[in-house]
Amino acid sequence: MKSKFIKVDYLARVEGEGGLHIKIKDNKVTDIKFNIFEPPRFFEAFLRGRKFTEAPDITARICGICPIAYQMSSANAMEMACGVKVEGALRALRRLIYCGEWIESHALHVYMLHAPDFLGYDDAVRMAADHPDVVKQGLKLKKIGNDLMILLGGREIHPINVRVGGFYKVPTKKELQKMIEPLKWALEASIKTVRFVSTLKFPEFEQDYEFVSVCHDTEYPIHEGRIKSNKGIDIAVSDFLDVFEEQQVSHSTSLHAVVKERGAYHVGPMARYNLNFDQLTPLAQKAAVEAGLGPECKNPFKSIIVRAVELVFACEEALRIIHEYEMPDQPYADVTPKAGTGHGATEAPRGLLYHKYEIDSDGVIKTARIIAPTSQNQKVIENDLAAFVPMNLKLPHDDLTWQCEQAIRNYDPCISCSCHFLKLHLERE
Amino acid sequence: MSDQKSILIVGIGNPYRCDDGIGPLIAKHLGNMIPEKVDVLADIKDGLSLMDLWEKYDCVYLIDAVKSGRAPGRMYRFDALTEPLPQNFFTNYSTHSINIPEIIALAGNLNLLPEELIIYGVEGKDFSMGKELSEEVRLSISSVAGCIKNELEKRELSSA
Repeated sequence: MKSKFIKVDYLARVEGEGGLHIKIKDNKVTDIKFNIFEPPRFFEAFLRGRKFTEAPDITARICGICPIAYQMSSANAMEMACGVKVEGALRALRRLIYCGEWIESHALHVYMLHAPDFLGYDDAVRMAADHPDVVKQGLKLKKIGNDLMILLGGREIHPINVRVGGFYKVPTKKELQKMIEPLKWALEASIKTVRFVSTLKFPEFEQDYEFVSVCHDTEYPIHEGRIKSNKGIDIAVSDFLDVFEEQQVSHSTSLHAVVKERGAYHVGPMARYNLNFDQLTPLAQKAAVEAGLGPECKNPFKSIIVRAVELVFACEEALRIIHEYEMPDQPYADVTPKAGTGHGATEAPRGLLYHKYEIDSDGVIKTARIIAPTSQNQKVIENDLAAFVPMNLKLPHDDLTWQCEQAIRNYDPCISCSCHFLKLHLERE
Repeated sequence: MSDQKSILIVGIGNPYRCDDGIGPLIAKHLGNMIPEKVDVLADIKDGLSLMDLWEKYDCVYLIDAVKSGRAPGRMYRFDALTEPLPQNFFTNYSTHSINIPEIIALAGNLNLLPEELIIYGVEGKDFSMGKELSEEVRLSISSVAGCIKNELEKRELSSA
């Protein structure tokens, strides 16, 4: 029998540059490569010699969609190194700006990047011709997330108001209250989003994943907690590198992260949801149940529903924080540099983001290590394709290629982040 | 005049990508030459935010660097609502966003276009990292700004 190839030279609707190459011989997948050819960006190298206070603003530049994640993981790490804990209203404000990033990023992915896959459109521009109200709703939701980031961060892309210890300037209660009405609209729109995406058609495909996320005793994880999995991992953030490692692969400029001696693991909204369903707000849980999701969801194509459920959660959580907010006396906690090592792990919209820094007594960075969500998901993406393609070989070539791309977008990959970029090749023999 | 159209001029591009920064530079240059009632923006964050911006105006001018393969510094003018835009002329505003023809198509599908949308394009040569414009592109600043200024003056005369 002839060989077949699935080839996508340049994947659309993902952040960054990458491609996919799948080789099939005698109805068996013989090779799968999720190629990332975005050039490496050397952030970890040029952080060396910079001051510990510069890490949030420098690392935020890794990504224009999830800069807050970088700012928060780096700030957490520096604060751990210096023995400072940010509490009270400052902690709540960090959670609030992170909610803004989840709303902005999830609305963008659900409506503009992922929904066209399910509805059969090449892109959101064409989808907008038939579903203008859907696209308008998505854009308005995204804008509310951006507005929350602007209010707290000074601007929505690479905010400039986050620092080690807290913020440069904090809002008054009145300033925050301006977001109540837009967020109430966003909450209703998010509930409608869950209903809308639950009506999409999902391929039958479930996998036995090892889900990994930050977990917290009393809240749905965003910016603080231990790292846990459904297969027995329960560690402090500082033990991350004891359990996980990064491996070089020749077809990617991004390292592949694995659980040592065990392999691929899954980070992102599905991991958070499966590990922390009980911590979701009652409204978010209700929306999930009405959408047909149980406390467990193992079909990665349904990640679009999980993202929508997280939109409900993020809007409710933002409203709760705003209602409870009292302006703190000082916009930041003083942080005096100490020689030492700090680790930070927070939940970027697309999954766990780990940072580690060693600093000297003057606060100069000696080493830096950044492990982005897409690096962690690369192996699980390849595994999904290896399982999905043989089940669907009867599909016409174009349909199979389409669904392979969709399977990658299940993970909302941010390739720029993972190299600190996609093209698709499906090859049949 | 109460029946005068509200006008917005937006310079698009990344000033840290050499010639890609021509749009914002021309917008800034124009800022000192045209009536105060015309709003000028030289720093937009996100291509999608354009739709929110132009909702509030009757007439919008966009100034952007283009890559057509012709001589650097060459000026193009398109009436985006009456003539098709060449798809491969315009660079992506960022890897995170969509390019100008796509934003116009999206806004059209969402019924969010202004009454008039004029695009001035300037052929760029060097889109690498850096703040320096190529000589040919730098020399186009005053002539492109002059064309837009003349257009605004003609509008003023015709509405007076």
